[in-house]
Amino acid sequence: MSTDNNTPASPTTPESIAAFEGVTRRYGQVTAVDGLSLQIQRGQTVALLGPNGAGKTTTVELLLGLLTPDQGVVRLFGGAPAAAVAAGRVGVMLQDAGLPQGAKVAELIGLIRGLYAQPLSLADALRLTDLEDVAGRQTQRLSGGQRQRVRLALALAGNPELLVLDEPTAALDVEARRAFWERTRESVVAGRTVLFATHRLEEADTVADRVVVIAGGRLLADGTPDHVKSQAAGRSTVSMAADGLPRELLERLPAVAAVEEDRGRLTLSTTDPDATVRALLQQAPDVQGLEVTRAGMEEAFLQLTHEEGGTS
Amino acid sequence: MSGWLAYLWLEAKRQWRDREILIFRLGLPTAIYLILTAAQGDTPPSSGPGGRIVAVAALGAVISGVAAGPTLGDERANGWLRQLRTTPLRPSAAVAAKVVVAMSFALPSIALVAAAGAMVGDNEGTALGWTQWLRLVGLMWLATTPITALGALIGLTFGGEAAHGATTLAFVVLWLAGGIFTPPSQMPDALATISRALPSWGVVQVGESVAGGASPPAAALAVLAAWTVGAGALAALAWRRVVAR
Repeated sequence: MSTDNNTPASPTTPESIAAFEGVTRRYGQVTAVDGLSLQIQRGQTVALLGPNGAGKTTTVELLLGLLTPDQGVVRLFGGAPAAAVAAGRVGVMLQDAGLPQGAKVAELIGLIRGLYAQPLSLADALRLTDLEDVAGRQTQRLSGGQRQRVRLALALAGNPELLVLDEPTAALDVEARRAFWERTRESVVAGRTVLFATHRLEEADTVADRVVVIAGGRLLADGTPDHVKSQAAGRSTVSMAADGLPRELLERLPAVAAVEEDRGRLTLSTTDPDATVRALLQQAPDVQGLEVTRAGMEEAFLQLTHEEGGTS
Repeated sequence: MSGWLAYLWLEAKRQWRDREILIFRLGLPTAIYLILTAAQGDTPPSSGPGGRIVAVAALGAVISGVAAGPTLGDERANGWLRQLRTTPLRPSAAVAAKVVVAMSFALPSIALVAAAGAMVGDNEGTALGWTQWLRLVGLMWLATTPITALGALIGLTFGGEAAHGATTLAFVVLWLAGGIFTPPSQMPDALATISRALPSWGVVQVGESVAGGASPPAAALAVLAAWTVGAGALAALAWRRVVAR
């Protein structure tokens, strides 16, 4: 089940297996995670959704104890994240982590099986990730998609209670992404909790039963995919040639939520394109190259994150 | 413990099947010994007893010893060490496994040079019995420990390309300044002082003392112990930094 939007962190319930309480993490001047409070309940499949630079990877690394918060507390299975990791309760696929040269696929899975108390069988780990044909191959001879599947296999092989995947499909094309998620869903048995970071709304939409949107290190929305989409829905964009149009004028137009400038074009996001365009033509009758677009899911998500996060 | 063994097993298989590693760490020292013997013939060794055998075996020990550097450096750079950090494998166990695998190459590397010396050379003025050969190889091998700790320290301090460069630098310093082919007694005073503080000098001292039928000098053992503790402790600190980023 998902929690409602922006529910403040409550004391850890037995259901909750991961909790952020007012967590802040900075790198020098940059605040990567900013006062984040969040709980994850057992059995959920949670998408951590946000644009690049939103703080997703930092959030994942805080959850795993690879980073420590500057402020606030992170708990995993009721204790310190590092203790939960050491106890083998978590399987992880980090973004872009490499594999050691010269090791064979089956050997790497064998290593993970040796590190966890109740691992999957080698055969199961290979079958779930469709790696049976390359089990004896050395890592440097694998294709990009195969390497990605090996990294998924390493996260799964320990049969962990919590599976954490950081941008698992970033390097894959559309076909490979679809196949990856089909495989992952198959391999997620009942009771296992999954947290994955992504910048693709459609992934969050089709895979997760709860979506947590962050940008600029802050929580923007939290709920079912439908709930999050409805928050961002009903937006359209109006774009035009920039041609020295003053931004202030555009920002004051009716129903305008945000103004973006990119490669000589200004784009307004608006909840009422008719009213916006009428007012625009009154105040700037010479405007060139006008375009009105109903927001698709991607745009809606971008608006949601740009509007309130905006730092990246 | 079983997790550590699983990682050790993976590392050992991975490195031992690499032909380039085998040629470089095992073949090269033996080849150097044979070439030197062919070129210099029976010229008396410039340094102590066991001269050329001990010197080239020490070179092999250095080559295998510092080899933990590049593998750790590469895996630090490509994120594999961080991936391991998300598993129950203990960080210290990972470094220990790298050291043990580096040591597993140092032993045959030293033994092959000794075997070549026993077969081809004239024992260079020393007539060693079986037990003395075993003692020579075994003790020189144990004396390699601080050099593998140094290799681990380099790999954890520098990532990627920098680790390769630093490893080469360490190799050259230990080779040229470390008392392997030129004993400190033939060096300028300042360099001799440095030379007698390097772990490769300790390895040579251990080898020469065994070849000469004596016990290893206390000064050499002190240098070896200090490097083992020092480089080991710094490597543990460096590991923490790798993890904390």
